[in-house]
Amino acid sequence: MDLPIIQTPIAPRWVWMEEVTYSHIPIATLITAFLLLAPIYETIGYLRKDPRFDRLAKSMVFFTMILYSPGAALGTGIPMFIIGLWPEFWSRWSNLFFWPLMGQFMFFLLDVIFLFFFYYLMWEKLADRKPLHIFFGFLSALFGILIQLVWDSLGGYMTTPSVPLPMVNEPVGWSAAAFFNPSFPYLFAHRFFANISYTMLLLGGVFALKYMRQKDPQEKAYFGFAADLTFTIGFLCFFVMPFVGWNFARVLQEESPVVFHAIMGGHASPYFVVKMGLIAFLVSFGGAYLFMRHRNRAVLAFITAGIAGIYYILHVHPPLHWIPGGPTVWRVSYTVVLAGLLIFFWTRKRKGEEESASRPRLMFLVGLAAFFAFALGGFTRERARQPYNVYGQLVKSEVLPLEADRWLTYEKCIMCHHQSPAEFERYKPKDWVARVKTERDRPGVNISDEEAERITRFLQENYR
Amino acid sequence: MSDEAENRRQETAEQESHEDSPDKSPHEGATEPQTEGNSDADSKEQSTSPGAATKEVPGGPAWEAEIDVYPLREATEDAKWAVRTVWIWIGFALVAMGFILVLLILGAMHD
Amino acid sequence: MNHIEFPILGAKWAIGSIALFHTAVASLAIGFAFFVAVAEIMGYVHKNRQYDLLAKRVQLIHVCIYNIGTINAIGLVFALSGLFPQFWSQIFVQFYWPLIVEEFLFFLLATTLTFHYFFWDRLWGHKKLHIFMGVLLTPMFFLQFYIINGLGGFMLTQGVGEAELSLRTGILGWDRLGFYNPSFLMLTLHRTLANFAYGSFGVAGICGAMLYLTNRPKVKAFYEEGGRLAFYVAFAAFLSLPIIGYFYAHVLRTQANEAFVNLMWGRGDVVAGGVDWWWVKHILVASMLGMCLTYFMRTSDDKRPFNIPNIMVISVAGFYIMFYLAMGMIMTWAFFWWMLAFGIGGACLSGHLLSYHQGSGRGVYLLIGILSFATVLLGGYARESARPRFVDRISHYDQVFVPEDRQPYLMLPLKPTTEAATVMKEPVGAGELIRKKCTGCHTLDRIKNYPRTNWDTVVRQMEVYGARLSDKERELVTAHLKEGKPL
Repeated sequence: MDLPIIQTPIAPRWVWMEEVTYSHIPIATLITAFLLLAPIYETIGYLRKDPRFDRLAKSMVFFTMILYSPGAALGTGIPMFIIGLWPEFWSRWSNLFFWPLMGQFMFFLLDVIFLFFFYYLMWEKLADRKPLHIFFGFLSALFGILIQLVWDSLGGYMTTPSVPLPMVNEPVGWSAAAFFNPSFPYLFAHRFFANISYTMLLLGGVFALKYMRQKDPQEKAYFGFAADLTFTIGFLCFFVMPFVGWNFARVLQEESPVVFHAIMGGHASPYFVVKMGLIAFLVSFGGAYLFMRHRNRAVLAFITAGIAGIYYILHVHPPLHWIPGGPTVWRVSYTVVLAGLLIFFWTRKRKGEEESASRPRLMFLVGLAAFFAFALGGFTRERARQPYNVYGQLVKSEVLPLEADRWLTYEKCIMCHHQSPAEFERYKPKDWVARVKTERDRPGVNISDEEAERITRFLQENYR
Repeated sequence: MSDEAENRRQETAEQESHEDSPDKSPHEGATEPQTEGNSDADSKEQSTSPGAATKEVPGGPAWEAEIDVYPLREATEDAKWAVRTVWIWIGFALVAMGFILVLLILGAMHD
Repeated sequence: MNHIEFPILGAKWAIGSIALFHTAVASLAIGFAFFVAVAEIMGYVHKNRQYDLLAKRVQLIHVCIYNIGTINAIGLVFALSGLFPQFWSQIFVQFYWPLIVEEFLFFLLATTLTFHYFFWDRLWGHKKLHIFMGVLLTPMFFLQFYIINGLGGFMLTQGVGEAELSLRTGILGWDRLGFYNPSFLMLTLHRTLANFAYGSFGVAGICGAMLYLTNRPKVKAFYEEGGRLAFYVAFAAFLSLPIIGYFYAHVLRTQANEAFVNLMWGRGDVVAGGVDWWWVKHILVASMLGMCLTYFMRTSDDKRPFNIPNIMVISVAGFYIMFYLAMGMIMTWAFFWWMLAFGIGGACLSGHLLSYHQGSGRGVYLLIGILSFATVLLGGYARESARPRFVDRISHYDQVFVPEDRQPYLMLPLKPTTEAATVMKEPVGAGELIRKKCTGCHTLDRIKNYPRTNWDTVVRQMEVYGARLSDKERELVTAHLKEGKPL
């Protein structure tokens, strides 16, 4: 298909696309996480005869109700924008995934029916039949998760396409190989826990602010309880992510090396570094809060194990070039930082019994950091794949020469002997014409004249 | 209806009666455990949501008793954040609709 | 095979089912929004809580079904993307910007609706503000409707060659002439008022059902009064439909003749399973009219709020009869008599139900709610099924992506060229020619009255009366008529 390209006013097309996507995704992910956790809290409340859990679950579902319609309306905008702005991509993509999309439609429908008619509206009516009500809640959660599952599969395919993207007149409809593409399970797991983690940390922060403002002792006690519970769950869920993320990155390294390199030192790395910075903030202050507040040794031990897990991942990971001084400095640095963090945590243990006005604000900031870390994750992934709509298969129609040349350079050069694009910096003084010629002459290197010209141009313009 | 269920409802109602404190922010309102029909302090006498209707009180739905009252109140009694939120939204919606209308009219004249 | 197969239903019916499901829910949502505004205003003016409570309860149902409508729309987008990618992409090339604006309206609507419902009990001190927010939903829906009907109308009546030319010269998201197409206005008006009627009859239906389920005198009175108000509001909107319908049919006759013929004489997919569904729709409408008339006769002395003067009901009933008489003349007398029979039958049934329930409207409300639901579905079906398989630029649902056939329309240079300025016409078949050229003056029924042998003379005579035919067209038409092939 060769359709005319519709131009957008004011901002480039990708900005509009990101805009509409980011208007929907925070709402959708929040709803997915809330729908899963609400019946869990409700179950705990029912089993422990603790009305606070029921109240918490109910408030989450109420909030979901308010957000659902605007969120769904914004969600419809995503395919609309793609169909118009990237018609070829959408037509071919929906050809490959027609049946999953139809399944998606049914999941959506069932999600709404169970959420609205059986869960929300029946809360009071089924007060005497709580297990049944909880069951409806879990059904709604299940369909919410299935919706996410399908999206993550289709999204994963864009980064790690396991089968070729078919033409429109080569109908497919369903491809197990495409659906279960290599990065799908990791993307799904990563987003599943990320949803819970960021929404609960954010909710914990909001409850903490409410706790601070409340004057009624009974209400204050409730908000203190809710803040503690949600924040703790959010924080503990975070520790699953480094492990999932590590495996996700390995899959990317193997299946989509250019994306991997783009994130690890390439053009998408600044976003990734900021994300890591936000996570460092989150871990430091969130962990400090929990150690100060919690008496439960199991929670504290879990956090300690989580920090040890991060250490393990950094240890097995090749050294990063984020600080000057080489691999040894890098390894010593993170060892000292993590060990220091643990010592700091354990020395702060139970020292936060007294009230502090800054703590709720800090919790809220941690929640915000979690949200932005989450949002940056998706953004980084999208940026890393540019200029491809589907990795290595379909270039976006508005590709810039810089993007095309960058991709070519990564593909041809980094694959063999660079661990990161940052290593381009090491050639000083840089005579890129000679350097590229030398590299081309190596046995097994396959770079055409035209490609060599483009690679040289890119390097000259970006690594002077 | 069992006593236990009745007690639970009373507890919920008590919790809810605290919810409409004057300093409540929009976000607070949103995260409050107000499912359909749960009532705010002021809505004790006015709220008759269908959700509440699902609470079968002996002999009929809860809102039956409210049919006779049209509970207007002083403007100052409304939560400020709620009024402000609605005004902001209506303002935004009107501007947006005006813009769309202009687009449709201009679109009728120009390709 | 060059397209995705949809098992059992087939591509056409799969799209049709989802679209009808969407239409049924979305139209209800539009009608509900209108009714809620009316009922809330009525409550405020008369300081009557019953109306306000009814409005709030209906708005809750609206909040719940709104998302079902949204998700059906998404399902439709997905289904069209997979089953009719070429058609769908082409629609976006022509109407991208209206669709994006429509999408934005979606968001405005969803949020306004949510606020309107969830702020209901927080704004008793600002009731007028709250009412205004509810009223705002109707113009929002109208704007959204305006846009979606621009596209819907285009699929039936693409307009003149100038619009076709505009696509050839590079439409990038806005096809002005395609959007403001001949049937656009009639479709918009017809559907808007039909939705108001449908939504309000729907509320009456819900009230009717609830009346069967409750024994509480006060609650019964509530639903009785609610059903009455909804019934009156619905009927007020219902009154306008024959007038709009007449002009709509007139536009179709000249601009989408094949669709007009399919509807009026029961051709194409309008007849499915041996049943002419367009007939069925009108027969149901006739019975609804009969029911309404009896109901109004029985309640005409009512002095309660929102009454419709008897004279208006009677004059509109007269108008309806004239309309159906005219329709019967265009269609067939059999159709006319069936309509009359069902109209009288509806009136009798309504009278019986009112007597049986000792004056309570429960039976009438419930039945009219069900009938209005059925007519909305049938109306949507008839419109879609009447459309020819191919109408100029847009392939019909049967025709799935065929790159070699359709691509040239989309791959044209973006700037006008001399070649592009030449409007290409698909060769027109003799049947289509006859429908286009002859029915401007008389119905196709009349053609059947002539003997086969005499067509050379008759066609010449018609040219003398004003039919415009080229030599080639004359040959085609004459040969076709002589052979007695179907029209």
